[in-house]
Amino acid sequence: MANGTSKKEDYARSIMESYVREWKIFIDTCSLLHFASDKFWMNVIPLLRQYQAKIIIPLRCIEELEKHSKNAGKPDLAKKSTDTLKILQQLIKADFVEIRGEKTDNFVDNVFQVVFTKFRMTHKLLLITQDNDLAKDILALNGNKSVKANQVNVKRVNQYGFLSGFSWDEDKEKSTDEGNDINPDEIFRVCKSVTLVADTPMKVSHIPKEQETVYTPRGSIRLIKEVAAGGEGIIYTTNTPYVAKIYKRENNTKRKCEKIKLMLTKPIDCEGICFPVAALYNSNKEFVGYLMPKANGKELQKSIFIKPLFMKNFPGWKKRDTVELCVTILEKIKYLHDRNIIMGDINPANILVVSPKEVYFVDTDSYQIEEFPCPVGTNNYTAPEIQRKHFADFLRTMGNENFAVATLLFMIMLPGKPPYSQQGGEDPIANIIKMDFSYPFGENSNKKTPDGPWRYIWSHLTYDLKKAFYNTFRKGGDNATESTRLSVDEWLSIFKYYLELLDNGKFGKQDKMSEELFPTRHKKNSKVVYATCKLCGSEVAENQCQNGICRECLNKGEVYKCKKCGKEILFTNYQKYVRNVKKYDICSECFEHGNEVRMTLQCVDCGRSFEITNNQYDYFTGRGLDIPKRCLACREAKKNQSYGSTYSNSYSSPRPSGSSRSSGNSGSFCFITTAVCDYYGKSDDCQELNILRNYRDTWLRNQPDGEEIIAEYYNKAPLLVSLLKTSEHYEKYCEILWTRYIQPCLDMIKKGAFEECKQLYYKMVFFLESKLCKEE
Amino acid sequence: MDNNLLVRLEDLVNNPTARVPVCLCLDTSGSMDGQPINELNEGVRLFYEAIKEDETALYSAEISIVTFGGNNAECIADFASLELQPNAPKLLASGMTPMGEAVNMALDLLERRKDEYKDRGVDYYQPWLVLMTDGEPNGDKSELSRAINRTVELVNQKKLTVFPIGIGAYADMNVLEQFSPKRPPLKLQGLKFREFFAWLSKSVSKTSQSTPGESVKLDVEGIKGWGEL
Repeated sequence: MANGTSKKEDYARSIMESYVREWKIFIDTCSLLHFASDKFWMNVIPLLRQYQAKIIIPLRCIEELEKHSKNAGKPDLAKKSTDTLKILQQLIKADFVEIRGEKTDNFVDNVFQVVFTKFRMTHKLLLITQDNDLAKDILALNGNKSVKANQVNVKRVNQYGFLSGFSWDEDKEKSTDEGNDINPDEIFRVCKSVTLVADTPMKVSHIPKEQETVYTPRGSIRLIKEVAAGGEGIIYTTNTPYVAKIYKRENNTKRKCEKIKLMLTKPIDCEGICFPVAALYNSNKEFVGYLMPKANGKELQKSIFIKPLFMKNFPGWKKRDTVELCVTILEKIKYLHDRNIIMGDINPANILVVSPKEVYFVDTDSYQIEEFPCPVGTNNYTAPEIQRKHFADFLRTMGNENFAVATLLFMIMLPGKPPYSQQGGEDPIANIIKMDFSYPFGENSNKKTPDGPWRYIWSHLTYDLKKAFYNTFRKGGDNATESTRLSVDEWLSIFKYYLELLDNGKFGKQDKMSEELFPTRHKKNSKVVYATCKLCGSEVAENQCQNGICRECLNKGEVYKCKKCGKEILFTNYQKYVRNVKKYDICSECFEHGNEVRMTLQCVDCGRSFEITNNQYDYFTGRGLDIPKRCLACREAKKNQSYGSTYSNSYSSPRPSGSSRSSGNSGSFCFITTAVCDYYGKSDDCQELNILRNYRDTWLRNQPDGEEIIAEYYNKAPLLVSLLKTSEHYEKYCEILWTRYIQPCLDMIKKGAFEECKQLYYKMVFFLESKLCKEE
Repeated sequence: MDNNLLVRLEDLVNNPTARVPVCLCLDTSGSMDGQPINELNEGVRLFYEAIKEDETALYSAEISIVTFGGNNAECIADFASLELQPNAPKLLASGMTPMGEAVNMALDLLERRKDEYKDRGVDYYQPWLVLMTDGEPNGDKSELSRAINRTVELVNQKKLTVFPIGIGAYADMNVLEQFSPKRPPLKLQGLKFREFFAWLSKSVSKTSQSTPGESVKLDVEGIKGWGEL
């Protein structure tokens, strides 16, 4: 089988596959009776098996077939219908076909109308029919924009048993080229294979330079000054309003020369398209380059596509200006496409911008003209189907080109961002081939949208534009294949409408921020209440705010250095304003290191082993103290004894050793309370302590920061308790702790005000720290 | 220095340009003292200037510098665009040549930066590692062999382009060769650091004008201006 046919077949199969995979497919009687219906079943059944899908046939169609099968007046039809019914019976048995509907359904066409209207809210629906009128009626459902429904589609079975569109549909697309009274003389041919003209350098006796004379068929021209040097040649100003491109020796080929001559055969004249106006020769009549209109402006790549350069070159631009820029660019591309000129290497270095209304297309000698290919390309703008191909060896199709157009538009609207950049992405080529587009549309999103302003910018685009981008870039989208991509005319109508909405203020009325280039939040939704962020002043959805601060600001904050290792730490506004925590002095690594066990010792009193953490070690050695010989419990017991406290009874028996960290009764979180309870003569399993422990283990530990808080207490509390007990204000502090903190905390827990309890407990530790550490 | 965490992260998110991460892993051992370190400093400074002059490269190149001298490898500059980190640091020469430690640190920095790119959805080019030394490594042996293995593996997977460059007569070209499975290491002609860094900045500029994944031909002809086999 010839390569070309199998490729076409693959393509047709891939279309069929995309429908089987994602659409509910209905088939009409006339398609069932089509002469290629056998081929159709052969093509579709492997796909149905692969995706465990079924084709749906309304009961009315079966009834119609039964009627036909008894039609004595049309024996052929009767035979075909009988055969079809047999086939269908097998297919139903094999679970590839499902009959739906009831006897009461009206005539067949109406069935489709009803079913499609109803189910397109929840499914993508495809009807296969050969009936033009029915097809038109079904497609008309798409015109009803007010409902949030899926597109419906209609295809017919073609002679190869695959699916085709309707010819009137294609005609209509062509006829939308309104006002195209182009003189046929201006239109280049569409060719199928690449020219055989050699692309090897020609012998040129002399390459002209500055201040030398070059010749056109109409007279001589002087090269004045070099203004730019590109990959393949040098651009000079001349003594005319035009500039000259003189090829480098190695790029001056027969193919270039023939292509330029061909380009000059048609009167291509469009403001801003720097198309060759004359071929240039040296004094020996050898081809050396061409003459073209002069370009102005900044390359898209060095202006629009990098925000600081955008702001510098075009301060004061609004969204309408970029939309107008798209319209201007699209109109020029349309001029070229209408004449069968394919730009090929559409890229941001080849388009120069002066203003939204004034742009210049340069490097036009690389455009694809008839059988002369565009030999270069840029990955980001290269359609998936021609990725990794060698550009000089094939002719691009309009479908290939329309991918580049869509990419260009996307990257102007999301300034500089390629459509397939995404979180966790692979290299750009792989992303393009996979067509894993990451911007959301409706309920659909792969959740990999790039961070930052991009998702906001996206959300503020018009619905039509988002839909067009989504369907173009997302695999399986309505416009995602070479033959279905939107044409320049279709893009133009989307952008013109966008511009109209911006200019008549309708778009701004919904959300003023949609008029800005770089919105700082998602587009407003009429169902959402908005609030003004206390910190940055921007409007955000109220439920996205905490304590009146937007998410963006909550994640920002103050950056400072860890006191121990000097690493940068971020103290977020969330920590500061919502959690009300103090700035940590040290980073989390140093904190964890501090809590790691440095040594395990054996208590000289009770013989149990106990641990000394790095923090404790630093604490003792830092104060010139010896490392303790006793475990915490024994140390406290000892302290109490030497203290002669009347309440020392409760310590008379050593408590479980401190090596069982936060588990067990004497858990660290309640350390301070234990000490205070102790002061009040309450036992270790008193009601108050049990309430607090229960709170710690059932609520606090399950909070996002719970473990951290508990660990932090474990770190601080034993020290604080020992300081408390040796403090000269021991009694006073215990009373304050009880009345101001512990009692209210217990009340809060009883009321279920757990968060408040956490805060108050936090304050208590803070209070104690500030008092006791000062004393020290 | 105001190149704090937040600004760096914000730049990562806001700037859509595909990045070219370049890590300079430079020998600052005692033997580099005097004219070599002065020339190296001047070369790095000119490299910074050249990148800043090219609008595309400025927003695309991200440069980090890891030095090996004294007793340890040290990260002098972490990855950031030269807009945030505009001035070349001044390098001082002293001490030992812990090359393996430095390359490992450089590779760690590269890995971390690549993860940051991926997390934020930023495209990037295959990273570059420039390794310059005038002597032989005398750090930990196992660190050195680990560094060599990691580098070779990345280069073979096409995840890294490495430029090992020897300076002067005593540079250990054998070790440099082990770092470069694809092409032999080069020797700097005399102290032509400026020429080397001019070439490097041009290569970065050229790369920044391509698309990630596209193969950009190195200017081999230009290498003759500063290097020899």
